[in-house]
Amino acid sequence: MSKINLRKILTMNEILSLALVIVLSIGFGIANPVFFSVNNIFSLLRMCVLPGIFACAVMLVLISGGVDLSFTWIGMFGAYTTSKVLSALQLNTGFIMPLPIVFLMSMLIGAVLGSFNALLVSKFKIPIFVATISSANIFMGLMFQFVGSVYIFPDKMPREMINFSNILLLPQLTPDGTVVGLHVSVMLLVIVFLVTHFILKYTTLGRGIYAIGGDESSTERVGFNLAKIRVFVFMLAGVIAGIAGVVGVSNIQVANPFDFQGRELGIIAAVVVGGTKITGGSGSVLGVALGVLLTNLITQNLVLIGVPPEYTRFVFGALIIFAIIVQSLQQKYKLKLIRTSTASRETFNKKEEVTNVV
Amino acid sequence: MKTPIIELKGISKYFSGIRVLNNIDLTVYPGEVLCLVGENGSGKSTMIKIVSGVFTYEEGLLKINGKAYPKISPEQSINAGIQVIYQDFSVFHELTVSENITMSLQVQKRKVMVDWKANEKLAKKVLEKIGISIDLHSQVGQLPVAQKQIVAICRAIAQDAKLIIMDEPTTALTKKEIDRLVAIIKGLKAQGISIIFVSHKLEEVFAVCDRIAVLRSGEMVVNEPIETFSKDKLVYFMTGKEIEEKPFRFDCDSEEVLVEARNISRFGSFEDVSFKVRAGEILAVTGQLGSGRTELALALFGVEPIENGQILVNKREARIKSIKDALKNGIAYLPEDRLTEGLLLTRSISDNISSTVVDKLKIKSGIIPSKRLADLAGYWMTKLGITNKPHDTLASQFSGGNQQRIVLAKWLAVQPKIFILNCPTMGVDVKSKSEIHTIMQELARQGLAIIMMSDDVGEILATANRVLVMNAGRVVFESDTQGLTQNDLTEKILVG
Amino acid sequence: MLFKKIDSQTKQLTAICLVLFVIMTFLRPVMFLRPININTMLEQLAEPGLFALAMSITMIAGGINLSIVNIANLVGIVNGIIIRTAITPETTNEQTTIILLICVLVAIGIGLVCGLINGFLIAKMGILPILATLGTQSLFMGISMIITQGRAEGNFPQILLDLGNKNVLAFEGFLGVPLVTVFFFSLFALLCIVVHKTPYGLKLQFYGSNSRASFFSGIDNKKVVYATHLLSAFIAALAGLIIMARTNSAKATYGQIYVFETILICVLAGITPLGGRGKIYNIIIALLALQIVSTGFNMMRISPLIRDSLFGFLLVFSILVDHILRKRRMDKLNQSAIASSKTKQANIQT
Repeated sequence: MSKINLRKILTMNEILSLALVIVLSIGFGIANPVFFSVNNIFSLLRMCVLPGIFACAVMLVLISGGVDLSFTWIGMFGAYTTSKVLSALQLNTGFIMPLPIVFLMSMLIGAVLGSFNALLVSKFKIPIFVATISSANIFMGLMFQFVGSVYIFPDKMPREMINFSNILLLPQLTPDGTVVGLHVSVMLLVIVFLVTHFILKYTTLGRGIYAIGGDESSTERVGFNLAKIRVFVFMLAGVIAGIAGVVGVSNIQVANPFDFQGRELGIIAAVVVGGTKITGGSGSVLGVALGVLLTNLITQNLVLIGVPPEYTRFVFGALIIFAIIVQSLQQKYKLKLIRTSTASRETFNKKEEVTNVV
Repeated sequence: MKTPIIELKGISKYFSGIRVLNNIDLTVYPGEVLCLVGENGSGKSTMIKIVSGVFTYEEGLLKINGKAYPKISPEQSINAGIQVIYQDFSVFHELTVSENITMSLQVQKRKVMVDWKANEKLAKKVLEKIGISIDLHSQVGQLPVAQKQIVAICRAIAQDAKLIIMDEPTTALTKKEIDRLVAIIKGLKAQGISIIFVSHKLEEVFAVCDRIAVLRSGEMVVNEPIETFSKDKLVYFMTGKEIEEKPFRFDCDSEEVLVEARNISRFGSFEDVSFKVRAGEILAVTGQLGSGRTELALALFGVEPIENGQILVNKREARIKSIKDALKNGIAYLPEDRLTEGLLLTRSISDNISSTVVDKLKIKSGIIPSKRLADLAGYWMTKLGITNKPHDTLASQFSGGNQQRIVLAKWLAVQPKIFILNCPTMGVDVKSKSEIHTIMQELARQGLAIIMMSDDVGEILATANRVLVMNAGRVVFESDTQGLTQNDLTEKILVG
Repeated sequence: MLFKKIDSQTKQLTAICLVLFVIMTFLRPVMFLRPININTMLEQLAEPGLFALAMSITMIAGGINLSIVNIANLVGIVNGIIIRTAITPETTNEQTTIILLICVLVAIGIGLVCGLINGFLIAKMGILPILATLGTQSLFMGISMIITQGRAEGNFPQILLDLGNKNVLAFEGFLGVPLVTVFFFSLFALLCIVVHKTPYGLKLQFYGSNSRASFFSGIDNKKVVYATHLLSAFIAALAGLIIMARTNSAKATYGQIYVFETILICVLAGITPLGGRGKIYNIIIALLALQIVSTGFNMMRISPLIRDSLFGFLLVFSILVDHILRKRRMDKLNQSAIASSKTKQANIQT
């Protein structure tokens, strides 16, 4: 009985990141107890918010069978446009838009941009990777041409966005007079995680995302409307990216159009490290959370054990390579189990055995 | 007269300019069990996909329950009560048994939310109806093939279908499970549900059907109640000729054993298999799916190497651990699935024929002149009678028979001494079938040792010198084909 | 007759290229046609061109190589250190040349090691190319960053800059074509032959078309993958040398935009991400087309960001057109078959 459970654990997608988080946390803590300080942990959690929310968008598209490269630009488009519009509104009429509406505006823009992705993929049958690498550039250009490309500084930023970046839960006064606490955006992250998880687990369309990523033709045969699923996935991803955009912009209190540029691959890597398969059809919010936590855990705390900052990228790259190798070994182990455990005749599909033709 | 559940009138379908279905008429009434019979490649799968809305059709009209559908989507088809269980089962490997069974119903009932508990209950109920128990929480991808199929059948039953089309449902089931399936079908029939049972296995056809319709090369050749049929008549309509194909009795007088297997085994595939094949001899290996015959072929070809025992080529032990080893020993393999394993569909015929001998085509400077590719293609096209189309025609644009010839050509180009052919005439029109047999016989005459895997008892008796019957990985019967009747052989295959 | 033999993709592409050239000339006639402008355009071809070549073979294999730019940067950085430490004001011209040759060897070495890593992950571990190169991209960038500690390497010796930017005397006869461009064109021609005329090239195309069938045909898929990634990394390494010579610097973060551009060039050239198709020689036309547009946009003071945006549209558009044309071809085949069978039936009846 316990042997079977061990196998199940070993082949679980999320096991690697969970194990690493635990091991590294202990390791860091032993090396430098500052790791366990409340401030450090709160700070780590806050660091995870932006990539964490973006990661949900990435995960959704990845489960549906493709890599999305446009999410950072969708997020920025939403946030920057919202900032610019509300900033003008604020300056001219003094009207301060309440925070929920701020988010809503960005989410709406995200939904629209996301549906453009859906159009490319569903109607025009362009592979997701190619479609989104193109749409990323298209969105960027449209934003610069029609919305603007200059920084919006704090004095002109929508007031509520500035305020948002200052809200702390559980504030505590440190010995040297500063106030530290858990930033409210961590709550937002948790909410996004929960909602995403709920959609994926408890809605038919959500299950359809798994189906379409697993086997597109079967999904069609089962009666799903493929286009509907695609629109749903990409719009939802766009909405989530819109949320992330607002969080990112309000964090630094400046609307810098280039702020998210270059972060795509790091977030995608975090999602993959967390156990979501790049081939699609499987993945969980838990895995994403662990992946994001792990990657930020490492990058934040390397300095605690005396590793110079220029090593961060390398460690990150090594982590990705390590994770994907482990996942590949897990896959091979799984196949071996199927072959050896079901020794009776009519058991395995010979097509599955002849796998590594490369 | 009750409204037919489905009615096809004059349906035709084209793929890349090739007509795969020609003027099909078919009617199925409620509570009727129709057996759709035909060899692989006769157009059965295409017809099913048209009824289920996956494919469009170019000519004719489809009616379901009296309503005309010039165009139909999968969703519409399901809503009209059509359920198909495809050969590949269309299951989701990463999802659980319970979810696979209930997913289609979720979609059909347009449910927005997923109630896991209710779905599990439903899945359990359906499984009990069939009488098989599978762990509801296991990932379908990790189940044995037979159980994957059960899941697929459960899914169809869960949706209150009016017509269930089962495409080759028994290929991976044991006799016990087949009997159970027949009982289920009879039960569904009693409830007024129609079944189209697609198969090319004669025995099952007679056990369960009311009516038989035979498809051959895209045409409906007969459609009559089962009472009017005898086994011989059925075979006649399937193959288009009398059973007694003139047997090829090439009396192999050579004593030269080209390939020998001594007690070879591979865990999970086959066990303790031994045989000898002489130069000029055709050995047929047969057995139900899962008997290990394809695994045996793959072992000889180096794809799934043996773990115990010895393979001897030309009386010397040969270590065959990869395709490269097999080729070095003069062994060639014609795969069962030519579309995914045998052909590069998006490439030209000359590309395909040269794919096995790429290294040998280069001249001193290391370059391959296009003339050499063209010459090679031209030579084999003439030699094997492949339709004369330009050399840059894509492989996908040839018919099944021609495609098989292309695959033959590419393997003959390596000049093998031992040729393993896995179901060489599957999905091939009758004329090409007999021509391929002739080619095989000619090769035997030239001194090759040929091992042929086949399902077709008539083909085996007509072309092979000897036959091996496998069951559950072991050889259960071996005999000269001379004097063996079809019934004898069929019995040996089924009973083991 | 020869005209018919050239496939439609090439014809379309050439047409587009000529149209663009005419448009740009029309919009800025004096500036565009100036010899120095043509010269600059040619010179600028080398970098994206080499990257496109490096990317193309991995795409034909049905995969992709996201790490090409990082390999190039790594090469530049390592060589930067070698040059910085080895060349002092006292070094003779002779010694400098030797050191530069060593740099070339080092570049090739780094390329091969990186290619080996990529090949190993894909061939031996069975990891999808997009994922494997996603990882190695970070890895190689990480190594670059460790070496440079975030700063840029620079101040390469004059002779290197000469090679990179000027038309070296011996080549004056080439109408002043920059040396780097000549280098690129020769490599390009070589790759055309390799991919379309050698056993390896054919195996590559077959593998990309259907890796299962190529496996069953006796082709060593693993070897094909290794060879492809070694070659791809090798070309990327050469690109690194060019960048070094032209820009007089080497940075860990240089050129990230190239990934998108190279995919665009490859897709325009008919190499789909699904693999198994595409002619290398179309790359040069796609490259020229893009270069013309870039330069033209530059002259019209259109921001490079807008230009990238338009490239995005272009990529989408070209795939779309490809789809529509293919569908139309299939429909035509079906229609003609239906028609011919109808006439056959009619003939039988009469």
